[in-house]
Amino acid sequence: MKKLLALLLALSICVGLAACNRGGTDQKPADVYDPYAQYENYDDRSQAIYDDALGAFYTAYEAAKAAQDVSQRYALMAIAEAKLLGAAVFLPLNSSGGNYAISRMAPYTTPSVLWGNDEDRYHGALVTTAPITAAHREEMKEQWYALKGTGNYESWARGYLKEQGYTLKSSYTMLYNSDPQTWDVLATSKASDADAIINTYDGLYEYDCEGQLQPALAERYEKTENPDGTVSYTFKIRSGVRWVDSQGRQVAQLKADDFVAGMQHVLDAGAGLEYLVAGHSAEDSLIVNAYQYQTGEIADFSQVGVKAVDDTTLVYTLTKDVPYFMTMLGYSVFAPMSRTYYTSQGGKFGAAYDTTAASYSYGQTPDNIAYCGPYLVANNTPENTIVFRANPAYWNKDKVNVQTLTWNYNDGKDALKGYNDTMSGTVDGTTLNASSIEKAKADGVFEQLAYVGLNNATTSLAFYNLNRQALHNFNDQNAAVSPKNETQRLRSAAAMYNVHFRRALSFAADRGAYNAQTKGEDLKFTSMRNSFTPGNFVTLEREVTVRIGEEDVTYPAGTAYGQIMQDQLDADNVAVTVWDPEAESGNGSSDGFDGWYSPETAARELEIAVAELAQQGVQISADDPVYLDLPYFSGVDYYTNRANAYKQSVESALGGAVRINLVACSDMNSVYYAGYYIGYGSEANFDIYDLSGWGPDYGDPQTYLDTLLPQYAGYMTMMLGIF
Amino acid sequence: MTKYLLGRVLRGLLSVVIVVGVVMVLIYSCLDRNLIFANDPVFSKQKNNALEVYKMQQWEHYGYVDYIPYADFLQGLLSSGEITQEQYDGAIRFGNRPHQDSPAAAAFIKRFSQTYEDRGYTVVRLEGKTRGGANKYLDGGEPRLYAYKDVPLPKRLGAYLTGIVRLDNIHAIEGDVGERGLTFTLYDPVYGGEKFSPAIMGNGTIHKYLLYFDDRFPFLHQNFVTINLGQSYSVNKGIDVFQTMTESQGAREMSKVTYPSGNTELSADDLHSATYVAGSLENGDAVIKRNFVDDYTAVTTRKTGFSKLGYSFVIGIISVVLAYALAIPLGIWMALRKDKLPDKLGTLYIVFVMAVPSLAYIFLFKAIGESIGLPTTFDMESPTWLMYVLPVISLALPSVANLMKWLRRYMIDQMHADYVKFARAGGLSEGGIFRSHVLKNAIIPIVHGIPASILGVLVGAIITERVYVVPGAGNLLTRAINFYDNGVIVGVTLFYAVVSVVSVILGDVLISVMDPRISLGSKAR
Repeated sequence: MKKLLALLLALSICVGLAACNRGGTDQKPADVYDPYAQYENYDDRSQAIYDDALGAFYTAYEAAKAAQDVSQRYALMAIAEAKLLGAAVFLPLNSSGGNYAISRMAPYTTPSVLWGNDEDRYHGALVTTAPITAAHREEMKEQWYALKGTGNYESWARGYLKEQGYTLKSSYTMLYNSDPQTWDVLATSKASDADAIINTYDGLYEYDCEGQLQPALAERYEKTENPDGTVSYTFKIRSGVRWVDSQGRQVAQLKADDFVAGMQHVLDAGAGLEYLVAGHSAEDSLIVNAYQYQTGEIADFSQVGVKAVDDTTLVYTLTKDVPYFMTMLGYSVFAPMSRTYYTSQGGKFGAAYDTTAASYSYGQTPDNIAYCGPYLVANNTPENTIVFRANPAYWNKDKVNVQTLTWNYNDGKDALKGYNDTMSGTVDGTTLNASSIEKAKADGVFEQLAYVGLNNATTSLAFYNLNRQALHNFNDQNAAVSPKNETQRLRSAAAMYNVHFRRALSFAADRGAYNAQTKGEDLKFTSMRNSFTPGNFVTLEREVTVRIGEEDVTYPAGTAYGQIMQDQLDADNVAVTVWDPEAESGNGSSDGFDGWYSPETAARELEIAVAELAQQGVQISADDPVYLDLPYFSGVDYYTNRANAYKQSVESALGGAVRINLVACSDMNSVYYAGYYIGYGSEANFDIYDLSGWGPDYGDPQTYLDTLLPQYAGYMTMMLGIF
Repeated sequence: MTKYLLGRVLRGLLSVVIVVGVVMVLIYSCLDRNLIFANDPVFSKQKNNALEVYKMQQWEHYGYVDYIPYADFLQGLLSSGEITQEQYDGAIRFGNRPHQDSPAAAAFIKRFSQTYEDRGYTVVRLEGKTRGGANKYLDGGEPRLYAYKDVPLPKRLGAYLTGIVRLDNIHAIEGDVGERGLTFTLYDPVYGGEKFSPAIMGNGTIHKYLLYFDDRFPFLHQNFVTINLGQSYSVNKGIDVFQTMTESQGAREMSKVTYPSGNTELSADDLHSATYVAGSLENGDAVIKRNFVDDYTAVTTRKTGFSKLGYSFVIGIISVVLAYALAIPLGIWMALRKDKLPDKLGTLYIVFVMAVPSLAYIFLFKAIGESIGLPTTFDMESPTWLMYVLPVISLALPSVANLMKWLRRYMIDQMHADYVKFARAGGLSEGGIFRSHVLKNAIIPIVHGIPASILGVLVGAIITERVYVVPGAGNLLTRAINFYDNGVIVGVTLFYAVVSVVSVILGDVLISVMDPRISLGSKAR
């Protein structure tokens, strides 16, 4: 038996070696042309590669950032992103969300904002006693687009639901899968914490269900530019708002100072999200001196740009004027914190801040926080239930449609629990996984009730390494080792420099087949994203004229970002669809279809690339292919299948001229070390990497596009193998 | 026997310590610490030196390292009055590289490095990273200076073991609290001071109430000794895992409460839980000012449900009793009717439970229960006794099969033993042989498992509790592992280790009581 195994092993090694040789080339490493050979210095080389690949993007993007007006800025940013997508340095993959769902909650009656935490505010939801059919949802969606911004959608929805025979109720029960680990929203960066705590407090301004920013704890604000170049936002705080404890007893009045206390606590706690206000360097600090306070350079918080002038006047002083400041207020870092309640729970500020002190109990349970939001937590039994009951002292209690919000725990082990509980009425809504889709179809309710949920704004991307240096993980020589030899590495690098080659790669990938491995055949397109910034992320506020290609084009107010992006791509002759104006009931979307996959275009682009590369002395053919490495986690079947689906579609579309080496990693961490954990582009151990993505920090495309700036400024530029 | 047991207990304790040590080695030395960043959305938004500092902060947060930024060191000096604000301001800023430091900063940096290197820390200075010769820092590229130390395992283990038991005493807290001491009262003021209810109260202690009665099992409670198994870093941030296991859960229970100020109101505050928070009365909120007269203001609330251990115990103990009550007669019946219908049916059942994965038959029981209208989830808002039925059945039925199998096997084994044939030849009746010999011998190995099954229920049942959403203790360990909650992992391991050591010892004691041939003392041999 042992001998047989040994024989098999030896045989497989021989076959493997033979297989490697088949594509072998006589070329020596030194013969392969390297267009960037003259750059000795890594930074210079990176800059040169960046300029060639993304120079057009960079120029367009700098122009956009210089724009004075917000609509102009958005239009120019869309053009910049078109340049970025055209450069094909990555392939957009998916957003999260986009699942089939069944629900009793009316569509768009809660905020659907794509950043910050406001989307988890449920108090305004309209909930019916019976699941709302997909057809009615479709009709409501259309009306939402029509009424968006008028403030009339909710009352229309109420009337419509009644007309269709639904009965409204004042409770909503939903499923959750991760308990909050703390109830101190200022000391956490985890979405699973903030999703729950958001119901217990209000912010200064909040997005309403129509996507409009509405005053909440602030009544109004004023922006002033100071002589020293800083910008002040002065908020008039609503008076008469009360802080209560979990039992509804009033503990304090809301004061402007509570926002100051909140900000100091955020910076003291340092849970992660403070980068939103403090940045990563002194000059990058959004709020004056926030970074300096965080690093200890300034110990006195009164020098930080958050001040309570009196009980109802709050001033944030920013180092620079950013057009998106107001959109950030939905983040928990701007939440208020009752100073008196905090200190009575043993809380301290500055150097004395110490959560490990025995007397420190702030935020440890729902009984250790003060509430100024729509709900009080009435029951919190981990891994069982969280019950939110309407706060009788809430300043805006007339707007609370859901009096009791119940979260029921579901760890997903029982694949049908969500569906069964929804149909029996134990919970009011659920997303459907593959098994519950089958069950719903068998029960005959799928067609009638199932609808596709909203996608969120996080875009996952497959990055291409434009400057492959590493052939193994930076932390472990034996992990994710590339099967390529030096010649193959140089040949693939030479190919990756070529934009047509990269485009060929992008057009050749069948993302539908790829997604089907994880999400199932039914859902393979629903969350597919075709651009980096979602096309409906922002829309023009007024009419704008910009230059697209050779001509000036005027876009009316309300034009979506995606439309402009598409027009620029068309003008640049990049045969890709990133914006489908017919999607989302005619309101347009960059999700839910495959606008990239096209074997014919891929073959055409490859032809150009092959010709160009041949001139440089790099011959590419099916006999002498380019090898590209894709590291993947081999421990779970669907990762393996997904990688194989990718390999298959690319290799067949490109006629074998490109071969994908699937680099198997037996543990997930090795895959992370190949790309996600790297600190510099030179450590990027892949040619193609599909485990990275970006979620927005505020409501401006800048939050996406900044990630690909050169010179170590962009957070994801290193995924291109440079900087 | 006492000497033997003492030896067993000591050896048991030693093995518990070894287990905890091994777990600590695994967690703090063998595991890759970067794992905690795998699903951290903030991680990808950090860069350069800021990323290094972020990693340090998170590692400190998860208890891997002790991390001291230079600024904390200076702030310590400032608040102790050793340096002035002016000196602080002069020292806090330092250059991109050491030679660019101002003399004032250089002196303090030297002192910082020396202080912490002497204490075994590693001092790290990350040079400033600027953009291509310009004076502008890269994102997150400002120079950083900090010291960090991996706590060595013996020290970590020692600190952990000595911290498990904490005794409250009248000098436990610092500061001016008036006259320190214990007072004994027959009329607990929580009940209005008129109801007879003895209590011991302290001043200068951490807890206000050290001994008191209330209406909850076990009715008499104490706070002299507190057990700390390990603080949670990520699951229940800041709370000790022993408290997580033992505190009641569910909706708040409102009652009329008489506060120390004499004010009476409807609330869920559990005044017996009051602990000291310095300055909380003076700086306190309206509720505290109205109700309290001293700094013992931190109270928990009373809840209507059991604790995690409570739910696991209730469900577990019912199922254990049920299992033994069913399995012993059934096993005997099978043995007596060997190869007949009852035996065959029983074997079929045993094979079914053994062959089908536990998750599958629990789902089967759940589906059957659902179809006859039993609640399938533990509803903590409106609890009923019916919701215990399915979890208890799901737990009991498999262990019934297991017990039946072994009892039948032991019985049949005994029935064919030589002494039975001899007794039969000697003319003893079948019933007599069965009752006083076969059963007695066959039950002995079964008895050995009783303490383990009773104590084992404290550990909880992972799958059953998850399927029926029981807020029990079963899921604590898996959840802690998922969230890298290292303090909890160690604490729960210790708890499990103690439970298993104790149940093995008790099993041996029980078996020696049942079986006269076995003696735990050495002299009997």
